[in-house]
Amino acid sequence: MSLFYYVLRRILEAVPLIFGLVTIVFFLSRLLPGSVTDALLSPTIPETVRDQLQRQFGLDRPLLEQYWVWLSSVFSGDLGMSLARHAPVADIIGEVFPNTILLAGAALFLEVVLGISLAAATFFTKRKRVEMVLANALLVVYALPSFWVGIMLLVIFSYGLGLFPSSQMYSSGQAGSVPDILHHLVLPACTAAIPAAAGLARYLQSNVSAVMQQPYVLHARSMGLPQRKIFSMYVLPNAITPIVSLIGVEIGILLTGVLVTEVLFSWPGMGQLTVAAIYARDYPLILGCTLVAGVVVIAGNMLADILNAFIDPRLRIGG
Amino acid sequence: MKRSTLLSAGLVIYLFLFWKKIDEIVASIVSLCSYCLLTLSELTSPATYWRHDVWEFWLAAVVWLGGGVYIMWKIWQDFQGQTVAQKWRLRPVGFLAILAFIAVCAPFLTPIGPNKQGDLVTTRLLGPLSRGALVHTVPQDTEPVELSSLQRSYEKSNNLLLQQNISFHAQPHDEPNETSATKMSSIRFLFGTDDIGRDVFSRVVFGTRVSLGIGLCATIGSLLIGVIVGFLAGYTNRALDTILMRLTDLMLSIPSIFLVVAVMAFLGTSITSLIILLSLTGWMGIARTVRTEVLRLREKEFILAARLLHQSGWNILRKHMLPNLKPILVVAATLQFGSAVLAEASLSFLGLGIQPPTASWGNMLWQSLSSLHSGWWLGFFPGALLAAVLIALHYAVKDGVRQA
Repeated sequence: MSLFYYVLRRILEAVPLIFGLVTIVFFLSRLLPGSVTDALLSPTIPETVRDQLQRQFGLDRPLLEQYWVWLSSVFSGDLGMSLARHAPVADIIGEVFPNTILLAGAALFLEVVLGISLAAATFFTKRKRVEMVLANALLVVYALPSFWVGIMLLVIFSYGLGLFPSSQMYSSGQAGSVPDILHHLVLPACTAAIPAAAGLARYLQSNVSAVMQQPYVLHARSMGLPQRKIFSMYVLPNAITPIVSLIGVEIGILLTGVLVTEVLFSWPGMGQLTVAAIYARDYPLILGCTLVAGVVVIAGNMLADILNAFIDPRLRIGG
Repeated sequence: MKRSTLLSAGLVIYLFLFWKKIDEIVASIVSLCSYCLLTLSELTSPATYWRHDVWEFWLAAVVWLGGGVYIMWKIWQDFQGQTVAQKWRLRPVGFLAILAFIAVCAPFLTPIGPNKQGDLVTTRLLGPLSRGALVHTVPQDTEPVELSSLQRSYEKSNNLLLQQNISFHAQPHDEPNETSATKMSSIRFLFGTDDIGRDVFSRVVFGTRVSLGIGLCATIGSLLIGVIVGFLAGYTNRALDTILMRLTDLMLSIPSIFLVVAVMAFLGTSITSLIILLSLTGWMGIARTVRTEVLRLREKEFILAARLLHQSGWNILRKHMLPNLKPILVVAATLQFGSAVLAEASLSFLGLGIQPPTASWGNMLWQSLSSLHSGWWLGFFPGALLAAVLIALHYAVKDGVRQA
């Protein structure tokens, strides 16, 4: 199968997933107790006003018709109006989405850099004992809950040493200055990246030891190439391929981690928006956030598969 | 011989841990026995004397007695020359077992109740290991009329258990003013106190209960759903297989925490809905592994033989599949337990899980945020215990995978 067909198939496979996601979100909003009008109106408001509002939202029509309206509006990019902020949900999400991408991107970058260097560190250690300690340390760090890492970073570096700011994206009056944003970015990005980097390093490590068994590595060794060269030219490129698909999955985990990280550091992104929407009982906004997060994860997985197919031709043939 | 020394040391530690609370332990046993005797002797309905907040003391007393008897029995076995089947490879499992014991025996291990608030001014944000004073008010005899001695002892032990006459404050600088109506004793806040003057150690210990309990219930739920879906997909026809596996893919592709958060927003936060939601979002991995294994097993001769004997599908699952699925199920369930505990903690950390004043590790972290700058211990201890559990689970999974 050629690359084109593979990409096409992969995109077509994502379509029912997104369709299913939209359906689940719709039925969540309609079947769960607590309708929009209950959130908007106090219980003392007379029935007629309630009915009028229901009609205005289209809630009195049959469920299937509502579903159809919801489908057509979602696929044309209209996610409804936010109840608490009186603005289109799509606009609100569009406003904060870049911040989340910035945080997630920085975390992903840190994760990959840290992960590869940690894996290299375990590769180059000569002593068995050091290697064992490192492997155990990686397992321990990988198991740490990211929000606890965040709290500890906050206590040590922000409250204790005063090196980094504890919250927000800008200092007051400095909105938009790049060094200031980077300064605010360090702690949240580390929070999301540290446990994930340990996981990546562990994964890489097991890949590396699998690649080390390959005959071409033995050949390179018998030719007398230095360890450094063997690692960078023969081992790493072969060990890193599955990482690309791991990163695709990682986008989902990162997004989840970012949800908590953003709340911890008051980073104005999707996570904080979702939690704020929940506290405000802003149902259209909650559903919009869930929908966008789901689409991002599906798209991430799809992109990872396609990238993998570019790198590794074997994948295009098989199922 | 070495093992028996170890176990004896364990018994000494066990008794040492609990000797200070021996009056409460005795009171729990008295309360439990007198409750049973009362309902039996007076032939009243059990609800007459039922106090819902003392049953945790009863449970703790039963487990406490059981733990002691178990250790004694093991020592006895050792002296008899039989081997104790104890493998050091099970260290992480042992750690989790100890945590489970702590969770059940929480009332006997904590100096004071988890929601008991000290003097707001003096016990606010005390650091770890600082001292405080417990004040026992001696209750006035109010001449209880027409109570049998059994009823009186029941009431008395319950009052002791519920700490109705106890309050605490920071160590006073002047001499304690003991009057005839009060009695002082000292207390140490191992993990400090929080911003409204509650003992963090007690809250962490009681939080063990909530966090592990919810994790356990959610894991059992996920296991049920996962095994059934996996078996249906792997064992019955192709069409159902396709539908169920597409559903699994769909559920896997939605970030579950967003889904749970969204549903919690609609349903409201209660422990039951939390458990149901965590089970409903955690079964996919189990279903996939079970399906793969079932697909492999169904081609085996013994399954064929069972089918030839017209065994029903349910019987095949129960008698022939499940024993073979056990090793992978243990690993999958351990993994799922870890992620359920973490999910509960994350949700509570966002303020959407367990609601205060009930203590869980996640919501303790959430509540610590507002006073983190003046008290690092508020964020450190609950998270450290959570991290320890997750680390132990990872090691358990690692060993489990190696064995399976």
